[in-house]
Amino acid sequence: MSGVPTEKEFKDLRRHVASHMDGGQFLTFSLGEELYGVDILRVQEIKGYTAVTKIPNTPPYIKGVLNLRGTIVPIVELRTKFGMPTIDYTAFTVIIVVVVQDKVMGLVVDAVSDVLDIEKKDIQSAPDFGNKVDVAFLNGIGKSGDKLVSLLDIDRLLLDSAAKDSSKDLPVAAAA
Amino acid sequence: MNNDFAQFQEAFFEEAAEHLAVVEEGLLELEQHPGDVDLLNKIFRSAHSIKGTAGMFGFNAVAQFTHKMETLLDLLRNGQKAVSPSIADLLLKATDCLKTLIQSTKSGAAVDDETVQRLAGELASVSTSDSQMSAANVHRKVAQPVSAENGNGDQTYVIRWTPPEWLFRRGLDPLQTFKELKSIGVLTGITLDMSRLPGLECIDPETCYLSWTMRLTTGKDLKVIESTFEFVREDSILSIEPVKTASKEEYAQRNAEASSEKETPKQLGQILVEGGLVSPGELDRALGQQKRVGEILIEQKVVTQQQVEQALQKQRQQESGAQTKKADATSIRVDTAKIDKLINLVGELVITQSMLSDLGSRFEMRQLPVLLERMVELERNTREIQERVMSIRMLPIGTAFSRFPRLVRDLSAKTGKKIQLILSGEETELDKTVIESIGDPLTHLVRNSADHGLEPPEERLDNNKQEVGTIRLNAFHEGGNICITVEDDGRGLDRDKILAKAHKQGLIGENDKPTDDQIWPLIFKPGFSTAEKITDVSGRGVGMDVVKRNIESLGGTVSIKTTKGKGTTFILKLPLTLAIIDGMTVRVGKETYIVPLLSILESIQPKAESIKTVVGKGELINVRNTYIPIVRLYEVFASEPQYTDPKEAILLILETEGERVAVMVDEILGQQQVVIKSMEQNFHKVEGIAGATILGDGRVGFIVDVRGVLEIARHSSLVAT
Repeated sequence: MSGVPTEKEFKDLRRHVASHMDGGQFLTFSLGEELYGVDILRVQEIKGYTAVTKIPNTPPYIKGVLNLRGTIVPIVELRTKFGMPTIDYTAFTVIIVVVVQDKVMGLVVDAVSDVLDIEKKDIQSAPDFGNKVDVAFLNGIGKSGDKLVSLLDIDRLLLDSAAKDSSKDLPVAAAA
Repeated sequence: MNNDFAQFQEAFFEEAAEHLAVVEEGLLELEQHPGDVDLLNKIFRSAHSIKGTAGMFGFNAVAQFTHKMETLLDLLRNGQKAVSPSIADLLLKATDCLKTLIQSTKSGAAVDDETVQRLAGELASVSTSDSQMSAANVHRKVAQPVSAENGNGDQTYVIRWTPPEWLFRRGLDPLQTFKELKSIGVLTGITLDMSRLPGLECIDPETCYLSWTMRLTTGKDLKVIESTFEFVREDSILSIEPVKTASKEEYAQRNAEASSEKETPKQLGQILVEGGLVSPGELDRALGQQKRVGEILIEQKVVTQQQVEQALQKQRQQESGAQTKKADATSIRVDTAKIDKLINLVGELVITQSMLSDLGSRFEMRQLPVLLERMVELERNTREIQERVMSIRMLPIGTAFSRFPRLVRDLSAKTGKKIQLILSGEETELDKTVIESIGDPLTHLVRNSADHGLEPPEERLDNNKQEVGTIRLNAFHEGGNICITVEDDGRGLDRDKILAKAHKQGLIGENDKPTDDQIWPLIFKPGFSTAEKITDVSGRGVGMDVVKRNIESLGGTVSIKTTKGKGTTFILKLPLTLAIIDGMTVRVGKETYIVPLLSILESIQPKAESIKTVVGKGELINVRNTYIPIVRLYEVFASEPQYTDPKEAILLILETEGERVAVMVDEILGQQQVVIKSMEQNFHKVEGIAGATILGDGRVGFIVDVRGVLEIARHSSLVAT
């Protein structure tokens, strides 16, 4: 019980940091022309895209699973998740491995760009677009220079896909 | 330091559990063979070990209680008392009580003092009554070491003795003094004070650094006690004080205080008050002003009330989670021979590895055969190590069976039926986790057999059966599985009754003509019980569904064989281990799946004429005159196949819960052992998939859940049934 936090305490700490939009460091990445950011403390690693194994009977945005040094990690394709058109993967396509609560998941994004310091005063709450755009998974909009960064609430974004009961997704149509 | 001690305590609890099992088993056997002295000795030894170790760890309540049991056992052993059913019963009850005592010492929970006292009293009175007078005198005193003065004027003294340093140099042995003290009264609560013991480097082996505190209950007066110390009196620090009659409550309180002081360090306030720096009143006022972190945060408007409550909720969850986790911490005892073998194998592995790296550093193509040879060796090593490591987790199933003789004995008393329990195959080994999880299902089944299966003695005699009913528990290996059977020679399942109940609950339509194999599994449905009256043993219709669920969660199956009037047999089939399975790797399009080898009966390449359809859709394959429904795996998993024509593809005939199904795949790749990786760890359960594994090329492959696949296929009406 010395000063070094246990893994569990460290995770709690991460969660704590993420739940307060106090500003801080964000890993930013691009999807098409848009820039998104995730709290850097939630990022475990970034790796190049490698082929995944498709999981049968799951929503299309679940790209599949990956063997990450012995653990099975589900991969979410962020473009599909956001309803954006898919594009061919390039050398820049990467998987950002994030920790959502106690689960490890991967996000496929077009490219990583930068680690940005965004202060609290530069973060405004997510605008309301009404039904047109669902902004529930945004923590806010950050400004850095002339760049606009949509800050993701990855708990909200990913937890439903990690915990959902897949029985609802049964392929009833397969009979045809 | 504290942790080290806790570790030893853990060992004590484990050992105590083992000894308790021996005692209980022995007592049950003793009922059958009351005169068996060897058996009594065995029981006595175990009880004595519990007492000894409990005393060592300062679990005085346990030690004292065991001491009372031991006293009675000693009388039985010496032949001063004969084993009677009532004594055996009392001893069994005492064993239960001891079990709870030890359990509560472990968890720190409150003990039902009344029961403990009552049983202790009973033990003592049985020990005293109609045995020889001298023995009676001594043992009554044993029974009440707590109360200082008892009827015949005995007095308890607390003796504190610090022997002189020259004790050993003059050839005196403190043990002699204790023996003498013992001869004049009952010596309890001997505690050793080693605080003066110096470090090992400056210890003088001939100097006595020790001192003792003990309680002596005796009818003799102070002078006699003092005379015991005559030879060592000089330079000794000795105090002999009579104990004022301490009430039980005081004693208990003292105990509680002692334990609480031991466990929690004092709080700051307490220390300040004790040091006289603040008065208790001042402290209370100061504490009253203190606020919880949550309140302060709300005041500063950092968080809302709601958020704090959520956080608190989470904290509570974590706390309760931590507690359950603590209870789950287990250990395993391993035969040293197994470890030695493992170490040898690891040695071999290291050698093979160094040979390989040596070869690799200056490899030429002509050395290829050598390389291949080394690779084979490596494979053999790895497989052997894997098997050995798995075998460490293997325990004989006897540990799970051992609770049943007692259970059946109690059930027999409760239901008024005469029941004989036969155990066999106790030495069959299986995975520790499996053993731990089958205890409850087995208990349900045995209870069920005793309560519903077996008839009352009169009914048995009427039916020309032996008066004594038999329940037989057996375990054996079959293929890669372990089978456990629970068999009774009772009345068997009543087909008509089950059918009537099923009609009533709407599980089966009025006009259906179900087969036996369809009827028996109905008893596993939740809330399904044909018992006319609910007893406290069983009949509520919970239980059987729990059995099925538990067994299935272990990857096993339950089946029933029954003949009316002859008896019922439940057959549990379980995998040997949960971590690794033998699998057949198959390919469908670009995907690789693993099918558990155990469920595969055969694989065939069908001829065109053996495939038939029902209403144009449901496909069936004729395998030696049995029609088996075909499931196309690519349809179930919505993937791209190479072949859509069954004639080009391969059909795997699989069996799940007695049902057969032909699963269509593109190609069989081979057979291998696979390590099961959890999908739930980072994702959620996926229908039709039992788990994932990592294939030879590093990619992830899915292990097919045959039952699940069949369910999906049914769901989307792919299969004609």
